[in-house]
Amino acid sequence: MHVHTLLQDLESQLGLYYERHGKRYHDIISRSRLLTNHMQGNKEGDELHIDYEVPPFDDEKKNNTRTLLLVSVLSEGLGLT
Amino acid sequence: MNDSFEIWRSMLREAVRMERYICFLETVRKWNEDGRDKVPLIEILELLIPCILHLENRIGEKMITTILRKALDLYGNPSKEDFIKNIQRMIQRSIFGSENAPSQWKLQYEKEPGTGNITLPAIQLRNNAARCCIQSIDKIIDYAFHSHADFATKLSQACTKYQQVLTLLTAHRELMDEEIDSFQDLIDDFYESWIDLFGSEGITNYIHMLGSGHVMYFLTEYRCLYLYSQQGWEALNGKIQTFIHQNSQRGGHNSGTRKGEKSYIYSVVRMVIRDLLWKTYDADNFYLELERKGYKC
Repeated sequence: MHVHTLLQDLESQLGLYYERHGKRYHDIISRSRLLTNHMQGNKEGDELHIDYEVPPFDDEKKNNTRTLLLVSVLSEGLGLT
Repeated sequence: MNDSFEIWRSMLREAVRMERYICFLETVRKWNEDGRDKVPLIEILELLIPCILHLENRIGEKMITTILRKALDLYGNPSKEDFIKNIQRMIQRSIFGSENAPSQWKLQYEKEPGTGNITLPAIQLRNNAARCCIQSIDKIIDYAFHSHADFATKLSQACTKYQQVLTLLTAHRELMDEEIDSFQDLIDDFYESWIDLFGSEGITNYIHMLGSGHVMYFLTEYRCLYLYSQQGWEALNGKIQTFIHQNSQRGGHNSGTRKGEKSYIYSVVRMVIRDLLWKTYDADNFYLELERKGYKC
């Protein structure tokens, strides 16, 4: 298998994502508190998980989740909307 | 939750997906920096994880084919057709359906015109049907080998081990070290008995991968192979098939239009695109964007 071909193929799939964020995968993963394993059994109930479902009318948890997502978005260098 | 909250979440999900690509890209860049022009296929293969859905399907088909062929060999030519009809009836009523609602499944067989010799071609099943057969394999064994008790007992024990293997392999969670060890122990027991009963005739690539520890290697490396299976695409295939069958009749034949004017492919493509839009959150983003602009959705 030619490394050059494989590299070209992957870079074209990723587009400018890698250059735009300029971060290494391991740096992002090690710094982030956010859990992203979608096979985690209790993901909807785990406040640190990306798929966490905030109980209705619980403002404190809602704010915590909002903060966690915001920090993660910033650490990923994704910019805010 | 307001819009930004969900938008951040979608952006993060997309980032997680891209980071997985980056992980692979970093490996390839390292190879490039090391001045490697070519890499052995095995190094790529280690990154290409086997699909356990396909593995389960192919091994299931092979096991059922091998067991039924062996059972058929035990009958003389005149009674082979009876055996096929009876086993088909049993599978229709006890495995895929019930006495009141038997399934329409047929066991295909070939009859040589001159000799009248009957053979079974390789059985092909959708994965849910193959899984159903493996779960009820004892019924098939009891029926097919009722007069060969020793063989039936040994085969049943091997199949029970395989059922336990599948339970661990298809678990929707990460396995612990002890479970992975027990997974290989079960495979070893299954493999030994299976080879003993059927020899090289019972082997496929996937059975070899199980027996030689390749699957265990991937399981140790990635912990949960269900994550990497193509279950989602298979489910989408099933959905498309149901969609076509429910919305068409004889492929549009005699539909009252001239040849070439009517096509079902456009409606299928529209359905697939709609499905993918929801699965990839693009549809959510589309409606959130409309709401942000003040439209009521």
